[in-house]
Amino acid sequence: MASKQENWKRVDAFQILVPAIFEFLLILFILFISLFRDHVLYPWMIPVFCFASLLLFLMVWKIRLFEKEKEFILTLQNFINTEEEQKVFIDILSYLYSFFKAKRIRLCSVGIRDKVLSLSVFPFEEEILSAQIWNQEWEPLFETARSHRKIFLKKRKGMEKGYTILIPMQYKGKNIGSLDISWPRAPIFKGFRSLYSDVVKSLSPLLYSNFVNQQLRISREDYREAYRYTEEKLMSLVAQMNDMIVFVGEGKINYINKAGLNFLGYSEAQELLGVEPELLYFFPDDRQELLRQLKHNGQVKNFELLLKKKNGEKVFGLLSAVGVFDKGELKEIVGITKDITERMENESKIMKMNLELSRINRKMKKTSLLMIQQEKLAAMGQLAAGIAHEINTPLGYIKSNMNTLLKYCSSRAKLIQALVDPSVSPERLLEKYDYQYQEEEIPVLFEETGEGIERISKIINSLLSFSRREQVPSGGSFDLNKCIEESLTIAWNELKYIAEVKKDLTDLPKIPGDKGEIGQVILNILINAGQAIKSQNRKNPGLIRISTKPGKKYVHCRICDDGPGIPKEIRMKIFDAFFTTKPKGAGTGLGLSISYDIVEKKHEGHLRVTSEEGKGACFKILLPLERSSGIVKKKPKDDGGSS
Amino acid sequence: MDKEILLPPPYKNDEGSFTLTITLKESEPKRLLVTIGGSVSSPEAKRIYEETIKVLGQGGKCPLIIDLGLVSYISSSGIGALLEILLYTQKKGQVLYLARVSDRIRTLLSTLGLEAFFSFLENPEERSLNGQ
Repeated sequence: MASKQENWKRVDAFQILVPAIFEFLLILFILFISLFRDHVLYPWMIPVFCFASLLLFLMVWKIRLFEKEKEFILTLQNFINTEEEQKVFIDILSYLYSFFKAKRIRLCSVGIRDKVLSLSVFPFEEEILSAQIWNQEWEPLFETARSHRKIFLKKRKGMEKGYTILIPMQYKGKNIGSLDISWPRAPIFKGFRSLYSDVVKSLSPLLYSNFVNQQLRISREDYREAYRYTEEKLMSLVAQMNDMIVFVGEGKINYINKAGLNFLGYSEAQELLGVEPELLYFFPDDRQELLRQLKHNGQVKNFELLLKKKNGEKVFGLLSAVGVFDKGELKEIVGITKDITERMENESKIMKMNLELSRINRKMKKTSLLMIQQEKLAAMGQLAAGIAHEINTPLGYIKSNMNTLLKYCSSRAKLIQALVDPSVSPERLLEKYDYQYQEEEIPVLFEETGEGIERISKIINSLLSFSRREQVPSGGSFDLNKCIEESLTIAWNELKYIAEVKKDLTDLPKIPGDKGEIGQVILNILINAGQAIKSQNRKNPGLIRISTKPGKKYVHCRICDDGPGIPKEIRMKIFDAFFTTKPKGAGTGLGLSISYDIVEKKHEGHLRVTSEEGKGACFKILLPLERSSGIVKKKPKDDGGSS
Repeated sequence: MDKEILLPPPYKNDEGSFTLTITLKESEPKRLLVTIGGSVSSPEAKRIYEETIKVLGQGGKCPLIIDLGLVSYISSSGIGALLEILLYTQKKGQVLYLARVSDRIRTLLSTLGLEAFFSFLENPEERSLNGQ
């Protein structure tokens, strides 16, 4: 590259100096001949002399320019090999600028989105570093420059009139930009085109590199500025955050924000700077778990900590932290801790309330069972007289029969003794002791007594069954029809003079549940039906119909009476606790309420009532064939068991 | 020899920072033993609750003992899981004991005012389960 420039320099020197010296010597020779041969100064000599002087002046000036050019080339050669590229590059451009007396030197490159990025390099002013994106595609501009055989002189129009040389820059066959130089007037130095072209061509890689450096420098400065700005903003944000932010480096607190100081009850950051963070932990071992998670995941999310305030008070914090690692080693931790003391207190309050509710619930269940039992006993109490009467009747004729049988036994004993005497005719004796009659009467008496005992046994069994308690979910199953029969047995004395009971009981599969409790429900409904019919003081007995039918998921039981019915205004209240239409002291108002609880909640069934005023009431009980572990089923729309 | 049934196989998370073993001890007094180890946060708490509830009925009405002796860290979710299990056992009429409870967990429970709801055992193998 340097040798090429040397050649160029020699050619240019020959072109300039040799004709100029020859011309000057010729004029001097003419002048010498004229003056020394003729001793006269001819008038024509004056312009010749002037011309020779001018020629001399031009020669001197050209030589001076040449010296400058030489200096420039030398500087350029130095520049190419120097390490301080940027500084030298600026020097060279500066030299170019002054040497060519240019108005401006500008470097262009491909910028964002292939638009031309121009960077005014000279003159040195504020704008030196101001990159500007032209709204012009790069390629057409470059093609224009290339089509002018790398160098073209362009008269600029518009505001900036003048001349510009645009030298395309190529590097490794790639169009990388251009360096243009502008003058207010056309440059007069003839050799500048080739000089400038070669300079730019030689400098292309360096110019490009410098241009890129400039851009990078701008980017770096912008980045530094942006970084400073972001850092300031971030620190301002960190300082104003409502949550505690702590930076920990080498196991010591490096920074804590104001919220952190407030959270931990400190007034000055100095009190905590340099302190080991685990000293703030109520359980210092938590630090190990935190470090383990940080090392494993690089970050920690929602790590709960029990922290110590300055006054020793305990506070809960929720820490999220990231670790800063250097060669796999944890160097720094940046953590944000939210004060969750209030949240934890509220959560513990809810937990305590849940536990308390659970306790109350268990107590209520016990109370409910007690109430059911008490209501059962109350019902038994109400029925006690009737039950006693029911037992007393068979007991009466059992007693009478027993007396008769005893009498017959005594009579037979006497007959046997009398038969020992052979003097007395046996026929007469048999007649005397009414043997034949007794022979017919005794089996009847035994049969009647047996029936009476059976009747009493049935009543007692019903009572026992009624009062027995079984565990519903884990308990066995029972036959609803049998349960109805037992309830009828208990209630029979209350009903037999008031109403006729018609049963239509279909064979049913056994259902899970407490027979005693369901019996209590049926008994309640039967007693209520009997009392309702009785309240009408009618001449003829009423009618109670009991029917059962199996369905797909439930067994259905209907108990209907032809009593006065339930007035519409109280129909919604009959299952309420302590609601009763009976006179004071006649009812507790809990019978139907407990019945509802037994069927709906304990047996996951359904208890419904329909009534037409003046025509009677109808209670429908649906009991599930299978239990679903305490989940109450929705109301069955069509179970196939409606009757 | 104490007859033991593992239900289900012991669990260990990927990091190895949490373990859960549930054992049914058949010899008298029969008991269901849940042994927890390591760090208990939200996902672990969920697993403890679910796994315990799953097997709770398998020992009948026998006491449930949760051994916390190997727990290094427990979050409020973990405490919540213990409470949920407590509520569940109460509902089922069973008794829950917490065994080998560290000072850390005790302090957490007392700070939250929940200590009184639990029954504690020094040793999960204790023969007389009367720690209430």
